[in-house]
Amino acid sequence: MSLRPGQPVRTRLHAAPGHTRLPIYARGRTGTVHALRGHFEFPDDLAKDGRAEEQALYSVCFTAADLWGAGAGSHLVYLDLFESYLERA
Amino acid sequence: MSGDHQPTAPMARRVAALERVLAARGALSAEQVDDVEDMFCHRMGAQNGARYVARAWTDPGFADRLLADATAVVREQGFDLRGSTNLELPFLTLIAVANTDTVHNLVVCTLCSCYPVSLLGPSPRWYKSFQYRSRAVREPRAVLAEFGVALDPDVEIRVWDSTADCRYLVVPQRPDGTENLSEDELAGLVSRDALIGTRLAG
Repeated sequence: MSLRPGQPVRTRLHAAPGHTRLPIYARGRTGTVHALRGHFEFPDDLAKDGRAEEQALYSVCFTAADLWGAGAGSHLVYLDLFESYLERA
Repeated sequence: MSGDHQPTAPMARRVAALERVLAARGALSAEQVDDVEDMFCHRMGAQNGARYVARAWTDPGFADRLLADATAVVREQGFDLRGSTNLELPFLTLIAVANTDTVHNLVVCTLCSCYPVSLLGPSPRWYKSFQYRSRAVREPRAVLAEFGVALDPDVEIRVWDSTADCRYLVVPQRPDGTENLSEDELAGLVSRDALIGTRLAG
């Protein structure tokens, strides 16, 4: 899955048990790809096995309303999220 | 029995004991310990990040390169802009984000306390607090106001949550009336908190 800036994406609702870099507050949320950050070892596997394949890491932009609902203000929150956490929305 | 534990020795005594054992076995020298301590306490610190900002304020070409690819600039210049580089520095990829009249940037690590240590020094206690980590992404305008940063309601706040391998550096706006200051004087206006986004420069 290759994502481009501007594409809408949704984060997974459940991560696999164990270590993850997908915060709970950003699970099951819809955002927009901001940029590709590069390719890095997937931390969920790294924590479990001590080694991991590299994976695409994307900066994804969420509006306050995407994360917290209406009335949350107008700020934007950018998270760096691995491809495995994302699906096209 | 859980009630039979000996009291744990104070941290300083435990560290000293560990250091003695490692030194006795030749795994670690006193010079190495001093060097690491000096690096964290003196060589790494916000004075390094401030130099990057001051250079960006005075050299538009440098600012463009910093905002386009800060990782490349740091690898080329060293973390203090004078060639000092430690390959074990705890960041891999650096992103610089610039404040403008219409955008204010704020950095947080909601999962732990990630931040570019070599450019900012050890992180302040509040940066690691649950309060800052949870509120920065939920109500950044209120958090900034508590730090004394009162933003115009029209200013867009961008919060950067360092959830993975990237570290973030805020390039604050250059204060008015600083046209005649040297690069070193300008660097003196940039605090650690300004590089996180919880303070303005000046």
